[in-house]
Amino acid sequence: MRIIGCILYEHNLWFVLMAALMCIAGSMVSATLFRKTITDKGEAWIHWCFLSAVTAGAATWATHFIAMLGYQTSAPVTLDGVLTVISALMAAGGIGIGLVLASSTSPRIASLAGGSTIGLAIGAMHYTGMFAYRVDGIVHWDWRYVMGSLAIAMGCSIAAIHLLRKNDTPYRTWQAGGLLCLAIVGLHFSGMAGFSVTAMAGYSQGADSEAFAAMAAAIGMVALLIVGTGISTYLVERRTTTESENRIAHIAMHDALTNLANRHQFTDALRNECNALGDGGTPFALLMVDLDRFKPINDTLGHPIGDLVLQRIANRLRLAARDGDIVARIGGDEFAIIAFGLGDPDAATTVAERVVEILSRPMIIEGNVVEISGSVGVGMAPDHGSDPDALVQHADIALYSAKHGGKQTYRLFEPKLMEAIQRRRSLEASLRRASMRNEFRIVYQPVFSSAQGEITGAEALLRWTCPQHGEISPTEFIPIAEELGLVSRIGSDVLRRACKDAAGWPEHIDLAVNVSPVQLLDPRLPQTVSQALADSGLAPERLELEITETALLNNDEAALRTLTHIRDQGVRISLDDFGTGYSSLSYLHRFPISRIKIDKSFVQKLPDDVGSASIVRAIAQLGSSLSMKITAEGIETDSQLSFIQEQGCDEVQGFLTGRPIAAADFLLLAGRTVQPVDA
Amino acid sequence: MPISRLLYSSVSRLEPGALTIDRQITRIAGEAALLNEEAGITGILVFVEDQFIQILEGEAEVVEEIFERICCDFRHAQVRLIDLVSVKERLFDRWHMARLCEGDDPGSSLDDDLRNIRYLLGVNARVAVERMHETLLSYEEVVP
Ligand SMILES: Cc1cc2nc3c(=O)[nH]c(=O)nc-3n(C[C@H](O)[C@H](O)[C@H](O)COP(=O)(O)O)c2cc1C
Repeated sequence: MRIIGCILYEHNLWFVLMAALMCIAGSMVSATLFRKTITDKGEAWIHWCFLSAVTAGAATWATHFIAMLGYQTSAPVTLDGVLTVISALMAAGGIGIGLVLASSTSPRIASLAGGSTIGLAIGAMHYTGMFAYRVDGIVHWDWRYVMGSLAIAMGCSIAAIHLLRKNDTPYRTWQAGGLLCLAIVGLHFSGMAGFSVTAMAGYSQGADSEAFAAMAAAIGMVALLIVGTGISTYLVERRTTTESENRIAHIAMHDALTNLANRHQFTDALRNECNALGDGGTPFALLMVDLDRFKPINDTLGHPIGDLVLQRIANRLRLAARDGDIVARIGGDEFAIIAFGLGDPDAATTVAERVVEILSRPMIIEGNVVEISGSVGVGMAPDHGSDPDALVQHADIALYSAKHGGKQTYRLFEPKLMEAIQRRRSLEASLRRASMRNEFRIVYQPVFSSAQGEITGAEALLRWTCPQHGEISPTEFIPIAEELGLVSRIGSDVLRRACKDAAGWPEHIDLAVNVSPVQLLDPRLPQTVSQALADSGLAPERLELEITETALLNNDEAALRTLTHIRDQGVRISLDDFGTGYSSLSYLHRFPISRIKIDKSFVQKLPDDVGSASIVRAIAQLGSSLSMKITAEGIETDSQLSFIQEQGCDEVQGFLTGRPIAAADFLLLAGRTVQPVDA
Repeated sequence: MPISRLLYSSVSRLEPGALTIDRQITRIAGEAALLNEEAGITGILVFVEDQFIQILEGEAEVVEEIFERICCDFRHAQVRLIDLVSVKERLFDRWHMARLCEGDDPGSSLDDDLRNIRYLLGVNARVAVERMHETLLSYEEVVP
């Protein structure tokens, strides 16, 4: 009661208010600076110690001084200048020592010794200041209040230092600031409660209250400047630190080449999102993205171009994903997208579709045309896994199945994909075994001249019956063989056996054998061809190798060399699946091609589809103007056949005229002389 | 200075909304013309049977950059690069982005001509480019 009474009745409230503001601001700034000092090390620590001590000292001193000026006594008052200055120095010095102690590594010394030194320093400042305050009257001290006030100051300071050392959160700093504030306020007012003055009559007046107010304002200003300097130094420092910390954090979390999130950030984000699922978080989608043909780009165009490709891919992925999604580069040519809040599989596949679409578009980089594509596997959380490992694994299975399901596509995970993967694995094993033991069969599809309807040749086609899974279509097993690196071996085996078969056919019947893009890249191909011819005794003029446009796409120099070599042996080259590829005409001029085979997708739409009809017509005209032979593939109906005949295509092949048959059957068929075509 | 000429086709993903498809294409071509004027690009945008066929002519680097931007646009899909050649001079030097759409001149042979151009693309890109130029010249007066 005495203390409250002291505040209310013996102080000028305006001064008290000003002191309170000074005290709160000063304490908060001091706590912030103390925290910085206690946690810093090295040379910077000394500077922080000094800055904190001066700022905190100035703040407490100013608080005390302004409050003292507001102390109303009936007696005249003067101030001792020297003692006043000393009291300020004591505050700064004592707090400085306290901070040195508080920075000690031993927690006990730090909080107890540091805190109590700071508390004592505040007390010493207060009481020295009181001695500087000369009142003309009888001064009475109540020592119990003095001791109590010191105890409050020390206790609060110890608690504040303890808090600051324990934890580095802003909330703790505010609490510590509050404690420091309490230390100063408690000390002042309980100290003042034990102080009383009785005026003596007859003495002259001291400083009047106007002069006091001016002095209070001046001191307040100076102290404010000091405290302000402390704040701004701290803020500047923190800003610089935050900036460099942010930069370092950015580097640590991002891929340097593409500026996408890196694997580290991806893993963190995925873990957080999965953890949140348990606490009412929203479902989301994970998209794993893999480029389909990236490695050859690095190999043929070099890494600098490869890097530019990756940068463009990154940009395209950002556009395909939604704002706020995380797009990460998690491997050389592997990316991932976390689509937050996307719980609907249809919405997730829409994003996947955009990714596939935008990655399939061409790119031109420094004059090089880069055709790349991407496959996407989609996993939904929590349906396909609610922990990061399971989710990634399932999205990866979906990705795997997209890649093997023809690439440039996306797949949503479903449990049956696991079976598909098992089938694929077992096919791979069987295919390896089959290629070691030559378990493939060759069948021959007859080719007829379109005008006379007689057999002019046969296309050798590969067949494989897997012991476990039965008859497997070449469109399924050839890509697997390509991936396993078996295709050259299988191809040369087919070539050797087909040449041997054809050597037994009548002389006017030619043989066509398919050569895959991978085989065309093999520089030993001309050697394989001449070996097969020599072994079988087949005349080179009767052999024709069928290549596709894709084989010429990225490696046309190498392909040109190989093909020229083969042509020079007398073997002819034909272009298969014509019309479905990339830029058709330029190849016809550059490569030694003597025949074009119109793709069955056009032939099968004849004669009703206007577009296909005019393509077929245009190709036929092109053939005659370039003096190349034209074969129409995939003829299934009479009307298709008659349309083709009208266009002047040289040869036809298809189910209508003859299905692929075994070698022995073909020999029988070819042995008969003229085979009329029903037209 | 040699000029790059690029030819591509794509499938429209435009949906009729506040603006008809026709209006949207006019707007795309108009905006493209403004951007191209700044970049020194000339060319033509053909719209036929839901497909875009576009020619861009300009400095090689600029053509690359504009084409990448076009490839980032979801208003079309299945972008297929058909031809990229270095040529001595521009064929479309008077147009920053000319525009020819099916239905622009009903009753004439324009629609047939455009469809023929589309078929030609798959077979002979160079001839297709010449045909686009001829068609543009003969319909220049009638189309907007
Ligand atoms: C069919 C089609 C043709 C376009 N042609 C051009 C063109 O010739 N020049 C151009 O600058 N933008 C063209 N655009 C627009 C670009 O895709 C892109 O929106 C525009 O360049 C603005 O890109 P920005 O948003 O990245 O600045 C075309 C868009 C479409 C759908």
